[in-house]
Amino acid sequence: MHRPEIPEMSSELLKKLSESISEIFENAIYHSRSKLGIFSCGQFFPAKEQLDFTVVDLGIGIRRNIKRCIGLDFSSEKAIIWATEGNTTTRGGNVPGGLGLKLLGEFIDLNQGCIKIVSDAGYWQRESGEVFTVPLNYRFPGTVVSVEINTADTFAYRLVSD
Amino acid sequence: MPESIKISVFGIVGSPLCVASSDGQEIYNRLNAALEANREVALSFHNVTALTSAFLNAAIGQLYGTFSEEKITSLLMMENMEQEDRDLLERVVDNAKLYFENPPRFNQAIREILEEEEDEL
Repeated sequence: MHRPEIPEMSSELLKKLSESISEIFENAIYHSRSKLGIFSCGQFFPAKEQLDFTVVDLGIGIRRNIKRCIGLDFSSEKAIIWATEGNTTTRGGNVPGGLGLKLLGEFIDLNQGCIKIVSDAGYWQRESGEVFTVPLNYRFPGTVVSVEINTADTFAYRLVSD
Repeated sequence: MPESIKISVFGIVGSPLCVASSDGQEIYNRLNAALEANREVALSFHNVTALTSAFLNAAIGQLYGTFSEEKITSLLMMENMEQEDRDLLERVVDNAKLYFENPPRFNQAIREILEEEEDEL
């Protein structure tokens, strides 16, 4: 995060970005059961002051993970809504979960960025607090989480309780 | 009362990036042992620069499944934690209390909303 290639950002934004990317990776590692690894890439667009970052896993996808862990059978796009709304988790057992993607969405709203998720045959997008979903004609074998970060943002981030 | 224990998150994780739930589990193991022995614990976040909910769920949220809130708040103290990290911890603790209140019920609310929407289609 302190390499010269990383665009200039406020220290608050840099911290939030670092935490958000870590949270996406942690989700991919924990939930995807990918046997083929996890892939990531990013690009900075200086003129737009926008940093795009994408994490891809080739695991079982959100829909099948929910079905397998807790037996709920949603469409692919409803499954992404379920995973991103908070107060939901497939972890079970002794460790609570269900906050990571919700907090990521809140951060992206404050940052005036965008988050897009493709999982199985579902597309989900959140921008300015508005969620848009659409079923896809073909299924993707895993999950893609892509964030667009507004690097000109100087907001000092504070989370608020529900 | 036995002397309180000081646990350095940075020292145990070995990095300023406290983001993985497996690292959170290491912290939980130490906190769990201390609270079981009724020892006061000062958990220091000195030198920690990044925290995730995944880490805090494992490290601290998990305690709410084992110990009462009264016991946790009376024995566990956070040190050198920035305000925004305290805010994140508050969200994690609220979420954990809700989860352990009734784990099967935890997933129910959003499930009912989504199923109602499907019925309306």
